[in-house]
Amino acid sequence: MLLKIRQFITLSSLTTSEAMRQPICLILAISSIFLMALIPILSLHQLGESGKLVRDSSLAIHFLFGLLISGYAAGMALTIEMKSGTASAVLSKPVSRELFFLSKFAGIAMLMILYSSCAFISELLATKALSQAYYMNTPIAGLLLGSPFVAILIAGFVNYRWKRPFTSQAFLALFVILGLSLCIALTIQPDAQADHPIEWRLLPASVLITMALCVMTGVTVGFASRLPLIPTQIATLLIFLFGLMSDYLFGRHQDTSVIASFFYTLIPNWQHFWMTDALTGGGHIPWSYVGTTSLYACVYLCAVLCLGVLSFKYSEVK
Amino acid sequence: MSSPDSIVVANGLTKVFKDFWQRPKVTAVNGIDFEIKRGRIFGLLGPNGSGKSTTIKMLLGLLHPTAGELTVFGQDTSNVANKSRVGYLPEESYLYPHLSAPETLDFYGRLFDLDRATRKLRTAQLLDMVGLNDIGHRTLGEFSKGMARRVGLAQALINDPELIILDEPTSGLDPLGTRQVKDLIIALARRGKTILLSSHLLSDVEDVCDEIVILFNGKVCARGLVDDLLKEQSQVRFTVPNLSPKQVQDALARLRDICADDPVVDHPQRNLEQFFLSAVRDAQQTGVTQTGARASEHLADFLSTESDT
Amino acid sequence: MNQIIAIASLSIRTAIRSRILQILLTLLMAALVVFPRVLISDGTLEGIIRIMLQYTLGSAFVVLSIATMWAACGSISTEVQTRTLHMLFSKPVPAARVWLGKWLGLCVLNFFLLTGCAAIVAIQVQLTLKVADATEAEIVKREILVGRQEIEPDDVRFMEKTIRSQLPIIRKQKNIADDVPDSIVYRTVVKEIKTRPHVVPTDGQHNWTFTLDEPLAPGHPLQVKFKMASSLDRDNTPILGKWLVRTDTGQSWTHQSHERAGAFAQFSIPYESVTDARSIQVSYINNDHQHPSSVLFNWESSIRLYAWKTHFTTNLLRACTLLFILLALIAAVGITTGCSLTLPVAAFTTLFFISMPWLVVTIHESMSSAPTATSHAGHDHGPNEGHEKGNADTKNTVVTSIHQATYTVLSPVTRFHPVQSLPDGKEIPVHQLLEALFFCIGIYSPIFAIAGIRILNRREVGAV
Repeated sequence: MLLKIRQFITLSSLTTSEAMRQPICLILAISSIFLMALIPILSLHQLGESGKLVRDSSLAIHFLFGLLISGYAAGMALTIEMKSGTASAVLSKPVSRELFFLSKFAGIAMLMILYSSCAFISELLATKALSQAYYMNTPIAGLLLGSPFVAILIAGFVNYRWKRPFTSQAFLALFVILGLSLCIALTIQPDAQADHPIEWRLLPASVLITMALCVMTGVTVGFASRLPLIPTQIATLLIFLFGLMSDYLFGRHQDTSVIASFFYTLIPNWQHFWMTDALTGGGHIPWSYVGTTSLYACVYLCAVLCLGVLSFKYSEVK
Repeated sequence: MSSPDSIVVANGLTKVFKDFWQRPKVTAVNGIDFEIKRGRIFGLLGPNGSGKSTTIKMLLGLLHPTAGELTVFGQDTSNVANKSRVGYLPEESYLYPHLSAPETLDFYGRLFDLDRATRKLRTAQLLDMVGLNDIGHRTLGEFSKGMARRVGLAQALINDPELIILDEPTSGLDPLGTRQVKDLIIALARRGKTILLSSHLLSDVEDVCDEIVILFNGKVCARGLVDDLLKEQSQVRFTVPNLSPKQVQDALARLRDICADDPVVDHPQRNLEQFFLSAVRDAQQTGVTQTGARASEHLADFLSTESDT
Repeated sequence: MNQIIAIASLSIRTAIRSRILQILLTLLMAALVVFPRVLISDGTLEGIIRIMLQYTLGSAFVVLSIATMWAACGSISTEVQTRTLHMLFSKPVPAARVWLGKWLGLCVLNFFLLTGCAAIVAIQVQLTLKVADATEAEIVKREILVGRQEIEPDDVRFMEKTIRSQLPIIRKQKNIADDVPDSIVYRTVVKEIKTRPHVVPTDGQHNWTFTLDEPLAPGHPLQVKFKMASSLDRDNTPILGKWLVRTDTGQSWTHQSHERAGAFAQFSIPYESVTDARSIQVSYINNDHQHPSSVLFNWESSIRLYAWKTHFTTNLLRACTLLFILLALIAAVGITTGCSLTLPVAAFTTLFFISMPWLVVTIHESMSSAPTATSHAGHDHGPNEGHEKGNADTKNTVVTSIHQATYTVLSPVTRFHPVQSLPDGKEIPVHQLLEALFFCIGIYSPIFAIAGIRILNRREVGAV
């Protein structure tokens, strides 16, 4: 049992570091943070709506870019390994297929949690930077805007000095720098003109999005056990789109149609994870809701992973 | 160093791979000199990572030399038109998996601007030569490594090249295929082609090459004609028909009078390749149906002789 | 040429034999057939046809753009990774031909796919019309399934020219400071004008003049589309009025109008009443004595003339040609980024390059809506502000010049809206096709081609 746990940890951490070394994952992560930093600047003149705009936009960027990262990394993690033969090399060792599949999922889920942490800190800083219309908290905005650049510089230095992989170092540096920026933001004396505390109520919204990303990762890894990369991406995209329109397409017919009811249950409903409207007008997302949604996500994820394990168990590995 | 007969000339050829910061990472080839004369079979030997493939890639213009001079047919390797006189078989068959063997050869023929009739003729002859004329229209993605290798060899000859660069030509081939490729190389050389053969399979090189260069760590550590390099100058061997034990003892007695050391007597041994080939030929003569590639014994007719080129 | 065709046909053959094309065709069929049926229209034939035209071609274009981008980015970068490019470059094939071959292959594929899309759209439209009510079908044929030229009133059309010529007078009249740039004064005046509607009181009249650039197509009526508002809450009661049409050739025609306020309405002027006209005056006479009130027309968008120009099929083909040209540009950008980057990174970079023009236009528009002359005029200057202001002005000039140059170079790509024109029955003029051809194929694609070829020539393909 201990050996299995050790194998699981080894394989999943290897998957995380492999995914972090993919340049596209870093580009997407950096771009999303950079966009979140730009939103307060672009929303400066939106009278009365700036706070909501920054909050909604940064959460939307978190969700969208997270989906892109999870879709690509999860697809790559299994498809490419099966194609290149590294999967068969691992499976020729005393590693079960179930463990291999689940560790791939866990590795990408870890990456998503790391990305979501970065995105969450950025959301906090972005909302802090523009808490009132026509007023920009310049030091905070500067910290957020500068973080990706500083992370790149640090990763460049580490790569030059110690020859460590640039992309994974930049990813980690981004997390550390954003964390430090948040600490600095917490210590900056509140401005008399527009005193506004850090919006910690974004935490449940971010947690919900992170759960959605993990569910999406599970779905993608499941598809990747059978399909090549591009069909996996397309299938994932379709699941995402159907999940977005689930209420419209199936929800309104579920009482009259068995098929609609079946699909409404089968396809993940992303609306459960998108609760930004609850934050409007100083509202909060209750933790009890987060708990219920977590249960939904866990059950859904378990089902998807079970199917994925079954699918991978009988698929041919080159 | 170069003469009018030289096809390839390398002087102080160096290739340094650099990292993102432009710091030297690996010196794959370190100031090597060599010359390949027309009609020769030139072997480029060395262990893994000695710089053989890097040298070949520089010859083809796929990599740019960091220092030194490298010419092919007296021209710089960046000269695109020059490549119409070169045939190349890479170390692995980098072929399009969705094309069939005839389509692959037709495609490469079009890149050499050959007309349709010529392409058709050459494709048929080459496929026959490499033993793939009965393979139908299966795509290369479904081929075994050895069969793909044969297609790779055929595409290297589609333009009837003057210089043929073969990087590990026998890798992935069965012993029969290996022997056929070696015979093909010798036959091509007889027709006046210049061949650069890179391999770490010493028996292959020994069997076919006239001249070799041995690379180690990017540098030349030995060079010369194969016969000269392998000849054991301190010993002499006599090969005679089978003798009776008495005749052997007589001969030994006479030899002991001539030289101080004890002479050695044994029966010459066939190597495993020769034994394998004779066994397979015997099996073929029994009429067993063969499903894989089976090459014809003759060279494609279009591959010109020296006088034609 | 043989080499280019060989590489192009290889790309096509590979696409056909791999699963990519099958997936693409499935997605296209979903976009063309399923997607418009999922959407809810207003139930009228007009609404159904509009959705059919806008969403079928629109979603097909989105699918094809993504597929083209992905395929273009992968066409060279995948060959570098699988090392088939080693083989290609060991043959006497210049990098330029490799690039062109790949581009041509994608263009040919797109050509066939777009032709198929156009055929499916046309068939669907015809099938829908066949089962529809004849009167409704006739209206749709007249208003949507046609290529019409939209003609603006002269005061809207030549607004910029008129205002700019009057800027010195306006400056004097409004006492605007010299340091306020003309562009800001212009924007302020435009804003002011646009907020003023044309008010037609009872027994009053308003005239619009329309200049026709070309003679009207014989046999086709001229259509007038208008929207009016009332000063009273009329509770859906139609406004009575009279439209009077006079031409520079002395012809005239009248039309009694009783339309509801707030919605677009239209009427047709018979061709015989406007034959050979080059200038048309359209007048609205408010003669509603039953419910006397003023009728208001939006200054900018309340009235348009529509002149028949071409058949629907021609317009559809032109729309598809425009889409094809845009896809060719996407292919060019994708192939070039794929020359130096790996597939997903190249796709992201291509997306960035493609969205650049729209980004520049958005910035330009937001800059255009920046502070106006009145806020500048009232500004109070401090004692040390002169020098600082001088520096700021220099910086502003540099930034504005860079922005203006970028805008001029990139904005032409954003001018083409084939998918929006079709459901409105607007003609896609030939000059727009030529313009697209000039900018996308004549300028931008060659720039990317040169960059891609240069990268390929310099790149050490064998290093991978």
